[in-house]
Amino acid sequence: MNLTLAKLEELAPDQGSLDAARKLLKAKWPAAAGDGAGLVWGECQGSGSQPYRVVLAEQDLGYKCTCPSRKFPCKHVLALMWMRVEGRAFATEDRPVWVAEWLGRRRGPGSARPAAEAPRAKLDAALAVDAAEPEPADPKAEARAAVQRERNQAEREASILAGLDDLDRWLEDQMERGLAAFPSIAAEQSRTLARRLVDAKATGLAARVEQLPPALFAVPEAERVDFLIETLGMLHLMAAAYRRRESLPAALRADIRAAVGAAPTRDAVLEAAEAVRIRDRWLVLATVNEVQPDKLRRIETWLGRSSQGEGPRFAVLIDFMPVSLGTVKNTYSVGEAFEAELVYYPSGAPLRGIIAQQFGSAARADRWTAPAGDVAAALDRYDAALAARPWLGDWPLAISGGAVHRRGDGFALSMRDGGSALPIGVGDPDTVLPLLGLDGIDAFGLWNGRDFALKFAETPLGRWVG
Amino acid sequence: MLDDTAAEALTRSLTLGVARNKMPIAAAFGGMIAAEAPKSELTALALLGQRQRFRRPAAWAGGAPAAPIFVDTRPIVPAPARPLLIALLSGKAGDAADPIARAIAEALARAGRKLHPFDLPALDKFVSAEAELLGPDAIAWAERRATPEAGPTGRYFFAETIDETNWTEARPAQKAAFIRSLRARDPERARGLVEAGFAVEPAPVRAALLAALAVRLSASDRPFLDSIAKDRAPSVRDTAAALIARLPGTEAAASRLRDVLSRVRASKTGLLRRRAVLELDYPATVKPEQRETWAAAAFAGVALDDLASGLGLAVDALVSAAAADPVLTTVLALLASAERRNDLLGHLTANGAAHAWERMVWAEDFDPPDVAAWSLSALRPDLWSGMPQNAATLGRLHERIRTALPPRIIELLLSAPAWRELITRAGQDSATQAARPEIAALCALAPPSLRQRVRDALAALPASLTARAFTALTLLDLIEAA
Repeated sequence: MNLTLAKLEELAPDQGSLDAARKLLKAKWPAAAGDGAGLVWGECQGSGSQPYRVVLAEQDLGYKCTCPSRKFPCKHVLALMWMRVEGRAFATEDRPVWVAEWLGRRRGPGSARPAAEAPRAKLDAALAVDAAEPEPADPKAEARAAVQRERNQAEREASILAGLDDLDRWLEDQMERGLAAFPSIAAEQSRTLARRLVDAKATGLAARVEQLPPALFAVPEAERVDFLIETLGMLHLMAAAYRRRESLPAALRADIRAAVGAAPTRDAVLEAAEAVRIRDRWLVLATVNEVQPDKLRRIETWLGRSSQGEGPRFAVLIDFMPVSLGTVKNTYSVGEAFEAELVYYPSGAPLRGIIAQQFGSAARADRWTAPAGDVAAALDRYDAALAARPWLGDWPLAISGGAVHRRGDGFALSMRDGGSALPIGVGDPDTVLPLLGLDGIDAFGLWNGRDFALKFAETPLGRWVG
Repeated sequence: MLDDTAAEALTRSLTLGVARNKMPIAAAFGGMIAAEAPKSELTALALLGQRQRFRRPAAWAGGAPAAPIFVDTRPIVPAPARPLLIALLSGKAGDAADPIARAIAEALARAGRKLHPFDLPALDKFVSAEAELLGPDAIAWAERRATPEAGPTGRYFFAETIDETNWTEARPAQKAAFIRSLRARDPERARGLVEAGFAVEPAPVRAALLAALAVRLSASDRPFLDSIAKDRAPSVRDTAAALIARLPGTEAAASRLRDVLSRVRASKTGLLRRRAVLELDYPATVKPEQRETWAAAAFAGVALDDLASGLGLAVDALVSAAAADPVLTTVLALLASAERRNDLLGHLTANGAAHAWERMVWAEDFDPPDVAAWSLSALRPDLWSGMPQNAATLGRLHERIRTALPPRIIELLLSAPAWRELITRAGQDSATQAARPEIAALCALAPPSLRQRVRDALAALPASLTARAFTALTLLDLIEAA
C-alpha cells in the first residue's frame, strides 16, 4: 500500500484525529522501529503510566494501538502513518514479542479490522506479557470437549429447525390474511419474527426478515405484492433447503447453512482444500458501509478481476463491526487495484471471498474494462447464478458498451440498439443524470432482480462512481 | 404448468388471502403438487416467487441516444482541480456561498471552463448559486426540475453575451445587470426596454428591473415611475416610490433637501481667514451610536451640488467645511460614491471617511461602473482604525464588485495595522474561527499576482483557519493556468 497524505486523509475518521496526529509528530517515540519489510512499530506516551504501543503493517494498512480511543484508526496510528508518508527513517530491528504476537493473531492480510473486535482484555494481556508456554495435551479433556461440541451442535440444529417451523407458520399466517394487508403490519410482524429467529440462532434469516419492511416500502406500491411473493417465497425456499441440507450438493449445503446463520469460520474457508482460489489483479469497484437493523456495521468491498480467466469474475469482501466501535472506514477505496489471492466461501455461485494473501500494495488503477457482454449476456449469468443459488441476493453485473436512457420517471441501462434494459434504482437520481447521452459506457452494479444499483462506470468523460 | 394465467390466479389468491380464496395449486402446477400435500401452499408460494425472479426486465426499443442534458462545448476543468472543487464547495466542510465560491465561479467563467458533469450533483448548491457564470451545463442542471409553469426561468437559456436581442430570456439577475449596464450608456433606451416587457414579468423581476433604473435616474423617468403607482405588488410600488423620491427637481426631492439643510449647522472659524465650518445637528431622538445611520438615511439621494448650493458653498469648500465632523464627512463620501465622483471620494476617504466604504457596499444600489477607480478612492486600509465590525463586509464587497481589487489596495491591506491586529488575534485564539470571513474575502479579492503574498501573510496561522484559503488559492491558480 503506497501511503500518501491523500490516503491518510481518507482513513482518518475526522479532522480532529488528523489534528491530534499532527501534534504527535513532534512527540517522542521511543522504540520506534521497523523490520524493513513493511512492518513498523513504536511507543507513544499517553496520559497513563505506560506508553501506548502502536504497530502498522504498511502492505495492507493493518494496525493496532493499545490506547483506549474509540476512533479507528486512532491518532497514534495516524501519526505513525504520517511519519511514514514523510519518509521518516525507522531503525531496522527484530520484531519485539508484542509485535510478533499481534502478527500471529492477525487473520490474514486485508483483514485490517480494528483489533477492538477481539476482547480488549485478551489483547492487552498478550502485549503485556511474554507468550506463555503451551500446555501439554490432555486426551480425556479433548474427548470431553468434543462430546460437548457435538451436544452443542445438536442443540443448535434443533433450535434452528424449531425456528424454521415458526417461520413457516408465520408465512402461512400472512398468506391467509392476504399479502395486500401485509404492508400495514409489516414492521410489527417482521420484528416479532426476527426476534424469534434470532432466539433460534437462525441469524441469517433474521437479518433478511428485519430488512423486509424498508425494502418493501422502497418498491413502488403497485409492485409490492409481487415483491412479497418473491421475498416470502424465498424465505420458505431457504427453510425447506435447510431441512434437506444433507441431500444437497456440498457447495449448496454450505450455502444454505451460511444463509440461515451458520457461516463457516474464516480459518475454515482459508484451509478448505476444495475452496475456489483465484490469484489475480483485483479492482475495487464499489464499497458499501452501512448499519444493519441488528446494530452491526456491514462493510462490503466489491472487487472485479482484471484478467479474463476461468472462475468467478467478481468477489465481495464482507466485514461486520459493532456500531459501538464508532466510525470505521473501508480499507480500500473505489478505483484502487491490488494483486491478491482470494479464497471464496463455498457456494453454488461463489461470490463472498477472503483475501488469503496480498502481493504488493494497492494503487490507483487505470481505466477498467468491463468483461465483454451486453445486458442480455449479463442477465444470462445472473440466471445461472440464481439457478445455482436460489436465495441469491444482490449479484454483480457488468455491461460493456451500454448507455443510460430515461424510462418513465427514472433511468435504465441498456445497449444502444435495444434489448433488455436494467432499471436503475437510485436513491438520488441526480447522480445518474450526468450519464444521459453518453455512449459506450462500461458499467458495474448490483442487480437484485428488480433494480440495478449502478456503482461504477467508465465513460467517454472518465470514471463515474455512484 | 405455471403459465401466466396460472401465475395470475395464484397471485390473486395470495393478494386477497388464501383463507377465503383458495390457491388453485393442482391446476397451476399441472398436478405436480397435490393441494392437500403438507405445506403445499408454501411450496406454491416459493415456486411462484422463484418464477418471477427469472423474469427479464422490459426491453427497450433502442434508437437515437437521449439528448445529453448538457450542450456546453467548453472544455472541462483540469482533472487536478476537480477534487479541490469538491473539497471547497460541497459537503459539510464545503461552503458554496462565500467569497471563495464566488471567486472560483468568476475564474471558471474567465477561463471558459466548465465543471465536470459528474461533479454537478456534489456541487449542486454552488451550481445553483452561480449558474449564470458557469455556463449552459450549470443552468441546465440548476433548472433540471423546472416545469413550464415556472415561467421564463423554466427553460434552459444561456448566452455568452446578454444584449437587446436576448435579454428577455435571461435569468432575473442577468436581466437586472443588463439594464444597469445599459442605463449607464443609454438611460432612455434602457427604460424603454423595461417598459416594453414590464407587465409580463413576475413581481420580483419587476422590482429588480425598477431598481436597475436608479442608475442615471432623471426627470424623464417620472412618467413611467408614476404609472407603476397602481402595480399589483407592494414591493414594486415601494421601489417606484423610492425612486420618485430621489428624482431631481421634484417636490419630494426639494423637501428632502430642505430637511437636510435644516440639519446642517454652519459657522465660521479662523481669525485672519474666516473658514466655513459645518456640523450636523441631530434630532433629539437619535442616540450617539445611531448618528451615522440616521445621517446616511437622511442624506440618501441628495445631490452634492444641490447641498453645496443650498449652503452657499462650492463643493470643494463643502468638503473642507465638513472636515471636523466625521459623520458629515462620511455622508459626503457616500454621496460622492453614488455620484461616481471618485476624486472627491478619494479626498474624503483620506480626510476622515476611511470607513465610509463599509456603508457603501451594503447599499442595495451599490454598483460602481469603474471598480478600480472607485476602490482606489474609497479603500484606504492604511487609514482604518480597525477591520469592519461586521466580519462579512469584505465578503460583501467582493459580492458586489465580483472581481479582484487593484494590487495596491491588497498591498495596503496586508501591511495595514488593522489587518495585522486581526491576524494576531486570530492566531492567538484559533478556536473561535475569527478572521475566517476576512481570510476568505482576501483570497477572493487578491489579484493573481499577489496570491503568494497572501499565502505568506497567512502562513503563521493555524491550519484550521487557513486550510480552505490555501486550497482555494491553489485552485484559482490551476484554473487560470489551464
